[in-house]
Amino acid sequence: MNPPSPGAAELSALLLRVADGDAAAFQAFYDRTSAKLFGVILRILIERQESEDVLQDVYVSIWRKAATFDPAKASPITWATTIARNRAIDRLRARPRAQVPVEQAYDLADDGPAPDAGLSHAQDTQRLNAALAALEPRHAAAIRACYFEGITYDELATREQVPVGTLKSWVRRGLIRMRGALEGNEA
Amino acid sequence: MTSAPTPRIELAGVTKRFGSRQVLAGIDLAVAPGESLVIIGGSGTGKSVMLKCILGLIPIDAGSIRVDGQEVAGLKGAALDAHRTRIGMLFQGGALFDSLPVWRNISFALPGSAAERKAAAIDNLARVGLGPEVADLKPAELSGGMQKRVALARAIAARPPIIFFDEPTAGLDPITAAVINNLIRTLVTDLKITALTITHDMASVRHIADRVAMLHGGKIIWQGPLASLDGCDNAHVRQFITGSAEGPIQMPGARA
Repeated sequence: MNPPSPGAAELSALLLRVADGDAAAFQAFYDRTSAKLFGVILRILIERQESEDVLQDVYVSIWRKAATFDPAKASPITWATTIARNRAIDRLRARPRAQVPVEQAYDLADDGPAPDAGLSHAQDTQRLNAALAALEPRHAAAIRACYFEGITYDELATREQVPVGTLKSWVRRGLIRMRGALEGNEA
Repeated sequence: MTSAPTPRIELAGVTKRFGSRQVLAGIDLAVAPGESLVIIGGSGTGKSVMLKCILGLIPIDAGSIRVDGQEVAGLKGAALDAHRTRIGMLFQGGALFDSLPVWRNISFALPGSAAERKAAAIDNLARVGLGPEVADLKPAELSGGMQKRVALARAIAARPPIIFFDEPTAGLDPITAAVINNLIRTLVTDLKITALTITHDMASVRHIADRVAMLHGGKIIWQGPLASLDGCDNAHVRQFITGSAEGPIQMPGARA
């Protein structure tokens, strides 16, 4: 696995201490990561108060699940961001239908390969990054933004002036190629 | 007298509520083609929400949003995509792709071969005052001001007729802010862009605006040409532009 950046190594060390019940380490982890996680949640939910509620839930989860974090498998910020993104998506889906503005961004799960299809927990970050690096750069960037950073297709399409359909097809094709590359390597 | 041309952007009676907060309470606003309109108003007054409503990122509760005479509120799918590709944006947080070099960021939406896209990116870098040596750098290697200029190059790359700027000088030192203000004014004029800017930086207002509008209490309470801003007798506007703590605008939680 690539050596972690100094920031990632510190966050990993904090999470290990959180797993032991170290409240000071948890506070430090919160201070270092809450702005970014709030951004991820806010982009999905848009409504500020609801996003703050979800942020609290996410850190409760992080406190409880810190022992499951494995620095060999993921960077600490990716691990935390995934929890935040999933919790925000759950909250978005729980809203009454009429109020949901951007759920079309999550249709990919219904009409294409599941994002982690073919990826077992044994896949490590390095092979994931290598598979991403083999894609057309714009396709890999779209996958990183939509899957690892919690940016919705709607937001990315607006930011980059690229149609949502184009982004989805880049992501879908990129994931299929990645799955092929990763499964091929498992033999 | 000839009739006025169709506004590039026109909002009529636009309302939006979040929970118990009526963020937009009936917005009436028109931006002429090629005009630079700057919206001012306190933090949290709904200026960003208004831009997101025009972009179709947030659905409105009532009212009409027209671009070049066509209703865009409630658009979906390909029609929404087509509407959005006509609007570039420079929002806070810039948000470039960390994993891509500057030239791939700038040319993300452009067609053509990699060589053609890189050439176009270098042209747009020149337009924002940056040299070709920046093209292969990653965003993390750039200062905040340079990242903002790269984001501006990206916003103009596809030559959209409309660009939205949300706090374009936020977080920049006064000199870098002046460079950005200058670039925005020059590009908007040279490329004949219709610009809608949100800012609370009065230096930006004075540099960028043809017209100014103030958003307060969910409505546009004053609008006029830049030249009439300083002589305006609206108490809310005066308090805002002078940065005074005294006046009709109350911070939330203040006692009456």
